Amino acid sequence: MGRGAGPWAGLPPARLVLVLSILAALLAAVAAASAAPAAPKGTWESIVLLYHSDVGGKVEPCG
Amino acid sequence: MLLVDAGGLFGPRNKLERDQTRFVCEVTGGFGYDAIGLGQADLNYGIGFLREMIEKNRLPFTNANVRDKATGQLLLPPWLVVQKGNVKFGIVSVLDPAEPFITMTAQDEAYQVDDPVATLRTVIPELRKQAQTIVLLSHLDLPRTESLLKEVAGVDIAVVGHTHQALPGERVVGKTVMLAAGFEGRTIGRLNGEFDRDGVMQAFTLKLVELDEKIADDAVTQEKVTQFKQKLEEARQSLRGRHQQVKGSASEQFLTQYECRKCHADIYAKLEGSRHNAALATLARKGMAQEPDCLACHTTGYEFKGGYDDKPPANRLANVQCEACHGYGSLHRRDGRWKAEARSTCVTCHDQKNSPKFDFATYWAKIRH
Repeated sequence: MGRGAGPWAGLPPARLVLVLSILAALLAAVAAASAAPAAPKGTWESIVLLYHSDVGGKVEPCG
Repeated sequence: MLLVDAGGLFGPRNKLERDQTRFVCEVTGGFGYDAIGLGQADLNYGIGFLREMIEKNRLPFTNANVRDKATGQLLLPPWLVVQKGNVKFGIVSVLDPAEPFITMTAQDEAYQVDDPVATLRTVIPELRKQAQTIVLLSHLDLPRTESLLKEVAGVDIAVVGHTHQALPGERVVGKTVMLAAGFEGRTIGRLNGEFDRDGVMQAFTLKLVELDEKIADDAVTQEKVTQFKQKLEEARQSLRGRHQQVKGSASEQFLTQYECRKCHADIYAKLEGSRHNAALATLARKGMAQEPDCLACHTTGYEFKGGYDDKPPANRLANVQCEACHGYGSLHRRDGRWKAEARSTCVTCHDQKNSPKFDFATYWAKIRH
């Protein structure tokens, strides 16, 4: 069965898997941007949730 | 910022992958995860290895429904409470009891998995007493998570693992926001939440961020990766022999495409410029032409007796040649037999991991012969 129209459609190619150095840079940037002090009680507070899964232990794929 | 992983951080079951997993854990340990759910793969190297990684790298694994079968004790803390700003997040994780554990330590360890619905119905009320927002790390894939959420109340956010599907937009089941960022770290999901004074999320936006060249590398991490790859290369060299030439028959021979060409010049001419015929160069460009797991699909017969080797004469089997799909040429030369149903061979390499866009009709059109 082909996968072109399946659940994998639209995912980026396996150019790199868990690009550790890029993830590190991204996390540092988001953390810096989110480092504002907690909002005063009574006002809404912005919190960023970053999530992923199934990293699979690979440093790089075959290409 | 709240940073979570919904499980499946570890690699497949072999020693080389375990080395890579060890490195990934060392690096990601420095990222400051707030919680990591347990997936079946995270026990691939046994509970001892998992605990070693947790301890050495401060990895906050959590799971509420996997027990040591011998003692009946949970393997991990059943939940974590994390405060961000004024909001206390209760984070709980479950995995799918229908999925088996196949570990490198299977003879020494056995696990039992409790029903996730019953588990969460017990855990969530307790967790509610300590936290304002409940985050479920669900290693049950999307359909099973959706079913679970219809039976379990009280989950505010569900991050789904054990799925190859990323959810680019909003999906809400009951009062729960479901999130998924695909697999292998190709993307990371970002939810920007607005929480009221009671710690309840009142609004949010979602974005899937591709980890690509648009984001600059972190130099320190990049240096660690470079150094690790050098060590990995040495390990690959020592392991190559174990992967190589273990299948097939010593009495048969791969003849190479140059023999095939003598009778099938028209087909050879058609395939000569194909990506199949440049498959090894693809690996070489990435410096991975010695990677055993990759060579099986980027050469002809690497795992078979008489197959590719980087030394002459077997290096003439570089790339994906005729016999990669049709089988030993010696069989064909002797009695005309060849693998007529070569189509079934495609998916052994064009699998979801390495060829997620594979579609037989589209790809076959490129090499039709």
